[in-house]
Amino acid sequence: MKTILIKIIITGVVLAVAFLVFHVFFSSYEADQDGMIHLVIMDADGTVLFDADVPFMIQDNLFDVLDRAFTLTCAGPQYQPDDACSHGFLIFQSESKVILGIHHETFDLQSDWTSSFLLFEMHDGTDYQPSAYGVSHLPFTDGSIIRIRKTSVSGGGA
Amino acid sequence: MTSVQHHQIRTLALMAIFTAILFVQQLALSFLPNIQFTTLLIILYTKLLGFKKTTLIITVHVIAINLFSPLGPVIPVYLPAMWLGWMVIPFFLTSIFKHMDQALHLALFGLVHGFVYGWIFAPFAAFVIAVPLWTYLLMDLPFEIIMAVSNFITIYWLYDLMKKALQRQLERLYMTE
Repeated sequence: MKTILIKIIITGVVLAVAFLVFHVFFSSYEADQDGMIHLVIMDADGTVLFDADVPFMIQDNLFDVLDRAFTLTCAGPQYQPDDACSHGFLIFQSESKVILGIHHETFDLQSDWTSSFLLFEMHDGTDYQPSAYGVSHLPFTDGSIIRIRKTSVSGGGA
Repeated sequence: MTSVQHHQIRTLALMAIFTAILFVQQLALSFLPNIQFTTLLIILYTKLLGFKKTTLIITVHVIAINLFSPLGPVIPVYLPAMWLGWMVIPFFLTSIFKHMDQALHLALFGLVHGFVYGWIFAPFAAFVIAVPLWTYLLMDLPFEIIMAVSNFITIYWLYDLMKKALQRQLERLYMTE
């Protein structure tokens, strides 16, 4: 009985630490003010499909911003296309969306996850740098420049 | 048929069953990122069958899981990373940590392995998707934490029970020769 109790306590501690780490480091990003981001969307061959400012509102994450401006195709549980974008990958209660495609009246950019994906890049003042965060967690502020680039899984850049 | 041949056939059949269990559970749980019993099973196999047989099981498993993955065949560049990632377990448990047999100690070993597996994968994955290594490591960290916690809990709670059960079955199997 004592052994089981100790096991439960140790397991609880491990789970609590994991939850804490996720809560501190991986919770969804939310904007703390209204503003504009500059968005560039690029095809795999380097063609610029979209290059304009997009507005965001307080408590938006980047997914909310894109979802308002475009018709998105997300990844379902098996990374299959999900036009309803109803699925989010839940990791310790932190939801992460994966975007496979972006549709707009002037362009349609789709990836399939296994051979291509949409790479998010942040402009650091001199060049674009690949983001270490996905669309639900990528931090941005008023004036941030973000590029979304269709990228080949095996071939690297556009 | 000699008793040596009998023994070899039984061992071969046993290894095939162990490989099948490893394969099926990983496939069945593939919709949950990095939550699996693979680490627990490889630890058990190492403890019960030894280094050589576990190496063979891991090799067959890595090939099979890449051929039949529901997310499509894994890029060949990942094969050595996956193999090395799993081989860390039998390597360390038959050398430096040879005498480690307590569930809590093995659970801590599994916890660390969750991160080590990700780090072994990182250079290969960063090369394939052409992102800087540091970016990949940051992106992978949540998945490493999930694997580490999943390893810890499964090993801590199930290692002793499963080892006893499997040991009993092995004794019965080889006693009837």
